[in-house]
Amino acid sequence: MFASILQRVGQAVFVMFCMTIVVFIGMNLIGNPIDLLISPNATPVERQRLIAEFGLDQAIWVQYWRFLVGLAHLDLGVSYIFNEPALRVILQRFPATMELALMATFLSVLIGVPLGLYAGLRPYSPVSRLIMTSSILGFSLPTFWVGMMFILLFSVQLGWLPSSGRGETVTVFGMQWSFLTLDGLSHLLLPALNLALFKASLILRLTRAGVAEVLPQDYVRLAHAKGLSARRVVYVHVLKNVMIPVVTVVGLEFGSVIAFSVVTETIFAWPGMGKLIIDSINNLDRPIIVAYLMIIVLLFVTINLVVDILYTVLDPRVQFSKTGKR
Amino acid sequence: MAFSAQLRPEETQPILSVSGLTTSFKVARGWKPVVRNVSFDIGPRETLAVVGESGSGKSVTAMSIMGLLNPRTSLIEGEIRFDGTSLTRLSDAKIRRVRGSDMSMIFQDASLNPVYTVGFQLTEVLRLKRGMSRSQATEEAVTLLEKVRIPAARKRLGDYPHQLSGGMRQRVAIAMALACKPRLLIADEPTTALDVTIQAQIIELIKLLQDEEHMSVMFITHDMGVVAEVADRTAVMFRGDLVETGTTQEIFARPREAYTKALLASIPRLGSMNGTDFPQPFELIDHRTGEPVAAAATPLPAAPAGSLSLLDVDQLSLRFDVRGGYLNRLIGRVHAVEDVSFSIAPGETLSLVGESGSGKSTTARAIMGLSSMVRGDIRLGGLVAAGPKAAPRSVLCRKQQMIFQDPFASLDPRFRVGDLLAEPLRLHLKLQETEIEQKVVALLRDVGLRPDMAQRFPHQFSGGQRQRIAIARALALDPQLVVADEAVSALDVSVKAQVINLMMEIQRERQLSYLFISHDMAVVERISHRVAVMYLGRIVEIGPRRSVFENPSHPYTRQLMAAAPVPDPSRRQLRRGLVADEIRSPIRPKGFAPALTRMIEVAPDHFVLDLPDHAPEFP
Amino acid sequence: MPVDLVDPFANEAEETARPMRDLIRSYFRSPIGTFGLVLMVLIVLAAVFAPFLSFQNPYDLLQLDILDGQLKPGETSAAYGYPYMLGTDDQGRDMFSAILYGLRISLGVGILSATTAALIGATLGLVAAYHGGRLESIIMRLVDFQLSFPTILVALMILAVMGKGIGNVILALVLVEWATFARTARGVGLVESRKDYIEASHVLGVPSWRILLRHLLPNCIPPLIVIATVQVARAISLEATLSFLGVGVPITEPSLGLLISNGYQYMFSGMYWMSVFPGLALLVTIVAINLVGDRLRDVLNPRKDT
Repeated sequence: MFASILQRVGQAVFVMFCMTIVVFIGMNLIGNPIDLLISPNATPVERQRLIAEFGLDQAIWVQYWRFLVGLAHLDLGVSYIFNEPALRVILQRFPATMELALMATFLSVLIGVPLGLYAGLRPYSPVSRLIMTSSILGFSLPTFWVGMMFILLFSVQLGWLPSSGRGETVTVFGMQWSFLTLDGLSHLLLPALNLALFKASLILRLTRAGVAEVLPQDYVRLAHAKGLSARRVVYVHVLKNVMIPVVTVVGLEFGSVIAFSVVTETIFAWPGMGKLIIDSINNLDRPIIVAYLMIIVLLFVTINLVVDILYTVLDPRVQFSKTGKR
Repeated sequence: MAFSAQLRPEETQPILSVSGLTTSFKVARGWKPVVRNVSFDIGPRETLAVVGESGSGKSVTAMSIMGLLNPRTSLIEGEIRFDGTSLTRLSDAKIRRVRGSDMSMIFQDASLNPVYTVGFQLTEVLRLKRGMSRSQATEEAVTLLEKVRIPAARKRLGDYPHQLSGGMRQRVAIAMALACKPRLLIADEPTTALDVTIQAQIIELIKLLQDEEHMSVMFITHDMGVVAEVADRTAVMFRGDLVETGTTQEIFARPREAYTKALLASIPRLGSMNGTDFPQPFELIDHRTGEPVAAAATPLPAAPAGSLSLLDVDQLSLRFDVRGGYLNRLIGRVHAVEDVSFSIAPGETLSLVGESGSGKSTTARAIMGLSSMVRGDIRLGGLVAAGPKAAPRSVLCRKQQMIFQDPFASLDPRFRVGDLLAEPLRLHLKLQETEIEQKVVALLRDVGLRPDMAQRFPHQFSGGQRQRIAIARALALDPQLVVADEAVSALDVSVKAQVINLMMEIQRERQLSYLFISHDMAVVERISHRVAVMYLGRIVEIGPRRSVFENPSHPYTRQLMAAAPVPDPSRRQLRRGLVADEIRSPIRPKGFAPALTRMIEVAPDHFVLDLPDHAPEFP
Repeated sequence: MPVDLVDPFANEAEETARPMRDLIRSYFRSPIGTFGLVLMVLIVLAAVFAPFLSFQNPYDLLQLDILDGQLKPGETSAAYGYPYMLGTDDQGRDMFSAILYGLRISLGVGILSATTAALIGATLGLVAAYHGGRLESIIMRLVDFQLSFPTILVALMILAVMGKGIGNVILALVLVEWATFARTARGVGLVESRKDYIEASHVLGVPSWRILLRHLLPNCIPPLIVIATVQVARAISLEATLSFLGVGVPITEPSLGLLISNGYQYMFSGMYWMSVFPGLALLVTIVAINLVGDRLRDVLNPRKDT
């Protein structure tokens, strides 16, 4: 078990390494950094000095090596716009995005699992049909459009909830959180719900499919034949089998929730990493983009690792060493 | 109100009384009855076997009694009385109280929840149905596991179902069914998914527990051999109707109904061929009229003795790597086939018989070039048939062909039958379109199908008909050798007999050789000239069928013959003794050097493996 | 050769002879599925015949009149004298015409990217399943790597590197979608290629290319069609999102997403129609395609209810 985890960590490090290459090459393709960094009015001598200072006259692999060394020292350069270390700029906005993503994931499970369970257990009832048809709507609606409609309806027309910003925050562990104040929570609700809707539909359909698959199994018949109550059959024997894939997907999709927060943060002016990255792309702020990508990659690799381990803990049939690919 | 709390009624009164049971399933328009007007009783301590082929409604009958059918999609009419109380009128909650305590059920396989331990699932019943505390339940669970003869019972409580073998899982399921001391046990094909030696153990166990626990048993099966071994009385079902009931002796000795006669005529009986040398077709009976089917084929002539062999397999070995652990290292190898040699003469049938993991199918696949072999030599009439120097497929495919086990998977569902048959002809023979059409028609006729069926798709045929199509396809290029890998195992009894007869007739017409792979000793006895018994990758005994069956010399062959259920009620009292043996694994550590094969000739042309280690632990 | 035909179950086999006709019939058994299909066909027709259905080419500046700018739905044109059903944008562009032309771009991008991704992905997936070995593990590692990063992020980065443009959007969408097809195709391909009929064909000396194309591929198509349908919808949605974020299609070729984005700044000043109507068009399109995909999934992978 320990050796397998070690192996998995090794794989994760390898993926990280591959991504540094991809990111480095990708970033070198964005425009010409010299034009961007150096004022057009600079004299040729000044130009040469600056190019040498940024190391842009070096061979590409030397530049890559410097990039790696910087990475090892957690130095990802200084933002052109903010004039601050890029990593610090990103990390300042990290809690806001995490808060939004966690809340959205929580909401999507809260909506998706019970509805999916209901639709799976009563496949022929009109309510189930309604749930399933609505779920198609749920993953058809583009997130940005739903966000706009939320603002139009709940903020502009009804005036119930605020449409932008984080509201009042509380500082815990040196980071600011919205969900601990009533005002912050009211600011959090709309964006979180917006982000949750797509995932909720996904979880709903997954849960229903799981129930439909588990119900005809012999072990469910046996549980009935043992004379257990219908509640116990569903909540003990069916549910655990259904939840194993659902938990895995919720974990894996967490990364995707963070990625899609780009959209939601833009619409609700939520001061997180997503809004920052869109601004940085438009401003060609390279260090920020690189720092963002590296943090996201680290986050994803960690999530995949945790989900893998979680999966083997949950499902006794899976031996850790054999889950090479899914 | 628990039934067991009541006083026991008169011993003669039936425990279960079913009258006029009709079960219907919801279809597109209305209800379609799948069980029609079925009535029977089960007395105290009595065993009733309900026997029938697929689609007979035997399992649906059991599910109706247990109330396990979904009321939304199924409709139960008629009367089901358990110990005098009508079950059809009980509420769902009350039926659940009867279920699992007074009346319990075991299923075919995989019926344990994969994500809970054996201990959890056993104690769950004890705590919820018998109100035991956690520690009491654990103790009782150990007792129950010991009762079903599971070794090291206490350790098994922490195991998950997938860590146990199929036979052990079925024992756990039986222990669970016994948890509340039921008065009726319904066993729905409990041994069908198991190997024959394990099946014998489970049947033995059920018989013994019935005596110990004083329960009645309703035993559902498709296997007349099993019926003869377990049942006091037998009910025969066919397409939803109860055809005939009676004592098991009566049913076997004097069947009244045409269908029962037809069914009995199509069962191979182990030992019925003693004293004969050659294969013999079944003498079949029409299930509608009860009359013998015309033209029961005559016995086949002998394989020409001393002639040159068609297929030679010499020292074939085949291994699969087992990987795992850190960096996916090689941790061992499955020695699937180990130093196997045999030959087949033209017009001869050699059967490879053995249980799962014996390597019989792997051997067949290696001969067909479907598994890459590790060592050895396979020659087919002068051609190298497998390995790096093998003749091209386009040459080999005209000499050797194969029939697969599952008739539902071996035909491409998107091709019409005519195109399926014409495909090899078009690819390998330079024929005119009209000639191809004629050949397709002739092939269909040869396997007993109508020429107009060429226009249909595979899904429009029954399993037996599909296997006939697969045979026709194998015959299309007029091969000399046909490898039949469990080709009749998936078929119903009566269809199986017909397909076997068909294979024998084709053999006589075309002087074909068969390599017949099977786990069923009785079928093998019918069809073979010679037999090779495989165990853990090796041939342990090989020789003329008569010599091997009349004088089995290897302990494993004897065990296999003893375990095969015999459809003869007079052998019912025979007890085999209780062992909880497992089929051993053919996985060996890395670098394992197998012993050299030594064979001893015990009779003319009849050889037995002389490796004392290579035998079951409890012969 | 005399052979008896006493197969007690011979009659029970199905009698239907036309699998295709049955599929079509069972598709139309669902009113919602039928509704989705009709809607989808209408939308595609509207996009194809956009020049005939709209009374102005919204991107021919000569046909625009700035005096007609920011008109409410139903208000009459000062220049032409007929009402703008869905209003106009800030430059006097008829929203109805703009939506029809935007639909062309959205649908075109979605269909083109999904089919290209399907061809590349399905080929790689099937080859991986059929070939196995090292080739399979290389392809699947690549797929796993690709799939472990969310589509929007990958597309965002590609477009950040390459800049706006319809071609670049399609390229980005293909790059994020091929892996889904490859994984599905390999999964189905593995199941099918393990079935006996593939081995039976080997044994009969059918050449490998023929087995792959004539036997394996046709049996793997149904699930791929379902995935393709859903992926068209996802591609349209993703394109709209990217365009909304300002990294998608250029202003000269506005898709529905860009129309929504352009109207967004006017939305809270009461001129809802510039954003809401293109949004509704986008929504209806995606829902229609997803309804069709959902129904196809039910029809092509029938789960037997007992």
